[in-house]
Amino acid sequence: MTAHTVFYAAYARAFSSIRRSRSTHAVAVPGGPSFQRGVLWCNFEVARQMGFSVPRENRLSRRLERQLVDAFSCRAIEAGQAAGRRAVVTLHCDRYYGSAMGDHAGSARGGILLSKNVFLKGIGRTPLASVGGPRHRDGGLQLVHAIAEAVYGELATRIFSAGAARVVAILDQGRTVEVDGGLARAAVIARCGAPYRPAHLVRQLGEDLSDLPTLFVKLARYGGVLVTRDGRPQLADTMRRILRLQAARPPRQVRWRVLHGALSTSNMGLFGEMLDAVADDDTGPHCADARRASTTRDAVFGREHSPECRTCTRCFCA
Amino acid sequence: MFLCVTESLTPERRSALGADGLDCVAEFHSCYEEEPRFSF
Repeated sequence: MTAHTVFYAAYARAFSSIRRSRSTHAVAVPGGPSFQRGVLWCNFEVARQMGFSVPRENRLSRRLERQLVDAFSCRAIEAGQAAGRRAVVTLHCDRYYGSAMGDHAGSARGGILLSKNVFLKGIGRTPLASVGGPRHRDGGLQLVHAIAEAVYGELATRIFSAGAARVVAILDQGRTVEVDGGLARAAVIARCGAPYRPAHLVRQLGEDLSDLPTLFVKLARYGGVLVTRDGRPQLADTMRRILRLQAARPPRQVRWRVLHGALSTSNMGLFGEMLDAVADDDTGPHCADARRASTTRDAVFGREHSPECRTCTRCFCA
Repeated sequence: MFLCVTESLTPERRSALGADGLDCVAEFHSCYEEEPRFSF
């Protein structure tokens, strides 16, 4: 059993999800052109590493598309909904707490598929979803956000030493999501990497915290940052290592002119990885626009990054 | 995050696990002062 499996088995909430059968029928999307259900984009490199049958010339063959759809195209079963004859798989949704989460209790629109070690996002409302904000209310994921997450995930993986979550595939299920009173195309993404977030170690006031020291040690050991003395974990020294990893991120973002516009305890990896990068900004070739970090609505946790971003910007402009 | 991790520990246990004397906010900002020197 991997550390990852142990973590999700112990700290996430399992729920059932319907795995859809593949359909080749075109589906009319209100207000837009027809869409073919299936795979919209595939990360061939990652898919190959995960054992999918990727043709040597890196193309989306019918076989590969069927494999990806069978593995990842799921919808969450909501209360009162019947799965019928469709295959049901169990996903685990992360329970966490932190800033800018609304009233959700963790992952409101995604869950991890343990057999593939992949996080499926945009599959519908999970048991941890509550009323929520407009973007997370119905469990959908805008297609444009899915594309941004895939693009910035690849970018961040290559330029940040801490790494980033990477999208394996973007899947179309012929759905739309309500955005600002209108309808936008929706997608599901399958994402791997950066499974742990600071928010996993944050609880609401009054909640039982007694398991957190053990969880902290477990995650730190997984990340290779655990400090021990005479065989005993040293929490403060371990935390200093994590702080350094997290603090390294903003100046490097400014250096590469890619800022995370919506930092929060759940929008970053515990070890400084880039995560949930849908709000990332490529800030242009000559001036890193640090203002974005302070004006984005969700930048509650990330506000402490802003002064340093401005300092870094002065370095660039000098 | 660190407060959540250490909150449930007794003073003795906190001391045994080296969890005393960490001002997360101050150390976070000191990391920020150092990091640009490494990065640029």
